[in-house]
Amino acid sequence: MDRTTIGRTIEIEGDLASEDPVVIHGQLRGTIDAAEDVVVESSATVDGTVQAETVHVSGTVEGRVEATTRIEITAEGRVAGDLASPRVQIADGAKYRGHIEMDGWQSSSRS
Amino acid sequence: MAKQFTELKTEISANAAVRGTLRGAEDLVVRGRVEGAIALDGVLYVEPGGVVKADVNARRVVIAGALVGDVTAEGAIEVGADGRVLGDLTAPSVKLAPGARLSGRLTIGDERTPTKPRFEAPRIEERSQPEVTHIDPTPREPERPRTAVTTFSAPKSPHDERKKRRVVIKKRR
Repeated sequence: MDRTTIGRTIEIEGDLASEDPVVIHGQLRGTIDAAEDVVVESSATVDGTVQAETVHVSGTVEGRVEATTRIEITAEGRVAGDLASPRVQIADGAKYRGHIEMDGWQSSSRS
Repeated sequence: MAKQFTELKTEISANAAVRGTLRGAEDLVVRGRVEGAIALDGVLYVEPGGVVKADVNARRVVIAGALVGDVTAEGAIEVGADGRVLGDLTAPSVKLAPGARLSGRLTIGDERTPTKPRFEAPRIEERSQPEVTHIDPTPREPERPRTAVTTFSAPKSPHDERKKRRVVIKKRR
């Protein structure tokens, strides 16, 4: 299956749109708009808005995160920004600052 | 836990698009779209179906898809049989497969020492022009009087010869 992978040394200044799953090891300053999973790996930094079906954060995200299904911040993850998703999981050890919107969240941006 | 993916090549998949500047020190495979600019200390592969609308600076570039923009490579640029390029290519080595389409300027080698372009340019002139202009004037210049004599002599010669003969005859008489 196709998957977009942004490697560790890659820096993107701009927007990434994908209907395929996305895995980020590198740096992205801009928005991510994905129809499926987005994985922000431990080496990754995303400075901007992330929209996807599910978002897993083991790296750093500074910006709003929206997921139609689930957001997961692992123990290594650091997020500074609002979360909007029906399900939000923040692991013990994760660093987080922002607002969480869960109740009555309808994914108006998707489908 | 998030899915664990081992370090893979950076890949923009078929249904993905990047708009902006992309920099890096590794290989990049484009099956989808990249619009903006690419600066890579690695190999750029534009796969079949992939579209790159960007000025590209990379160590090596292999184009099997479509690329719109100027490409500069430290190593080689290869355009495959299905590759299409609209833009200038500059590299020490450029390989164009039969069937590859290119519209743009091609600079092979350093621009300061354009050894290959200089050889290529005269060849084109020699092939197109000399066969008609150069070869014709030199041999035909001596031939022209001959042909002119024969063609003019056909109608004029009878009178001239008669006159000359008569004159000669008169003089002799």
